[in-house]
Amino acid sequence: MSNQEEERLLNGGDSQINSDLQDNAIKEEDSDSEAVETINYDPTLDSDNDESEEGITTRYSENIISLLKPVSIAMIIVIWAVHTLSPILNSSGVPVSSAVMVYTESESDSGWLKLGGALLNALIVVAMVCVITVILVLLFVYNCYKIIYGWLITSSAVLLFTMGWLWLEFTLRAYSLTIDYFSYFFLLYNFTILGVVSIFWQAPTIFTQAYLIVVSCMTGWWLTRLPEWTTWAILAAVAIYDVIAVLTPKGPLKLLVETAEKRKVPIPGLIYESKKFKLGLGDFVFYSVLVGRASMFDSVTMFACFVCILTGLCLTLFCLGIFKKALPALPISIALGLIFYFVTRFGVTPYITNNSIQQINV
Amino acid sequence: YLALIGNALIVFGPIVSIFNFYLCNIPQLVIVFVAAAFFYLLSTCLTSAFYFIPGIVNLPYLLVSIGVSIQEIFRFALFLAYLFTERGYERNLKVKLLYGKFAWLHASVAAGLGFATCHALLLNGNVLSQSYGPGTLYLPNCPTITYFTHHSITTLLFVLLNISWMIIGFQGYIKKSVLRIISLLVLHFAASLITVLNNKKDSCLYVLPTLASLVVIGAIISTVELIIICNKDE
Repeated sequence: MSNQEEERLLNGGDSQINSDLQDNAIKEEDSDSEAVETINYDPTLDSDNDESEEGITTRYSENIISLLKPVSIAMIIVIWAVHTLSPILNSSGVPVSSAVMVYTESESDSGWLKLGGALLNALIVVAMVCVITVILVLLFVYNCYKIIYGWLITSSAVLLFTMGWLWLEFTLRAYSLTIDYFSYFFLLYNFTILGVVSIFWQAPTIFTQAYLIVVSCMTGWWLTRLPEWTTWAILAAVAIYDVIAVLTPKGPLKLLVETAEKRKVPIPGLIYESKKFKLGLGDFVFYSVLVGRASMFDSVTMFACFVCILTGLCLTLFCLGIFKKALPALPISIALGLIFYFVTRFGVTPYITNNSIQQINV
Repeated sequence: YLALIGNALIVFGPIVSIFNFYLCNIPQLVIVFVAAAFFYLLSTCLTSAFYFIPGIVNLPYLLVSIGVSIQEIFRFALFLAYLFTERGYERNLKVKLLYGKFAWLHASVAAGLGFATCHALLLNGNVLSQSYGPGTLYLPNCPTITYFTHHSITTLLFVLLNISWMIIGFQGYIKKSVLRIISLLVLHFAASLITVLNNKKDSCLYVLPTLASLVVIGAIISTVELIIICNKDE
């Protein structure tokens, strides 16, 4: 075992989908992929003889909380965006179509058609994520760092600028605020540049973390605009892909992580660092998508999914400490979130509604 | 806006205060809090399954009794999960989850707050969101305060009750004290069953005061537990 920091990795496969505004149509382009979610844990603190037993438990718990906080913040921001910004976008009459979806949901479609179409869309998205991840792995293995970071920087800048534009405009409209064009674009330009600098170069940690959360929120909010059945299918498919990519011997994410470990270099990608843990942005994105989509139905489903995701994340981090190997971050949380979304939607909500009407508390 | 903010503060003010000024100082308690919220969610999901039995909606006392029973089962399950985790930590890592003679008290408060928060979010979330907007709603059973405020006050009382129930429950399970467990069940059944009377005329004249009395009783019992722990030799 090397004396250097042992990396315990929590991996997840993700795709970050950027969107470009072209004319009146919005198309989704898959331009880059998240690398991995990594959790780094410093064992030297455990082996420190001066550290009290109480300190070890407290520190590990603090590390878990340091991930629960940003995940919670990201989910809350996406919920806000879904309820504040989405109605304005929907009312603007801008159609949503996707370059990667073969099936577009329609209200008049039967359940089976929607299910089949959603599964097909999910399969395409996962295939796309897989291809992009493989490309990323190949670039990393062959030391093409300039291409990797050029790709990441360009896509992040485009995302921050275009989505920042949308968010700023819709926020101003939502709260009936006004701003002149010069200030608008001055803010937007500086927001984008600061974001790129914070994420890829140097900045106070709080700025880097804030921008990473903002990037994940923007992506997550955009993905909540996908049709409902497709969203659920994609979440399930990506969670399954995550398990395969991380745990199978030739999984692309496993290869990426092992290569980074061998070379003792950081894993390329957008990774949120907090104390001793690192978590890839893909986790933030898909957690936010799940909660955002749940919030579109009801507050009961929203809170249920919120609790499930935090519980799943805690369980995953506990498993990380037990198994001491790379684990995917998405499956437990997404599985709990999906199960409890449907259980609360069809079971708990009618029960709670009846209790609220009758003013019964249990 | 004001009605929404006011009602939200009634329900979530104590929760946020306890969380911010107490739980946040001990990180392990935040994890216990999240786990407890999940266990409450599980209990609600299971209870809601009984809701779909034909005819049971017309038997609110039965449905409430089932709900209370399931919730108590999950309270015990939460206690077992915490105990299992604590023993696992001690056996494998040779460390404890929480230290000091108030460890179990801290854990029970955190767990109670988790139950309470999930209860408040699920039962009051929808109602609160409906309180936003023009107009309000008054019900004949309590014509002096709005339905939303009445609901918020009831939820607040249940938040406080959940915390004291968890303290009593955990102490009862640790010490295998039948008296404590029975008092917990009596308090819980009494509080929940009294709310069935909420749709009767002028019910808030006796339902809310009864609930408040149960909160006081629960607080007294919890204080007694605290005194017992304080006086216990380490």
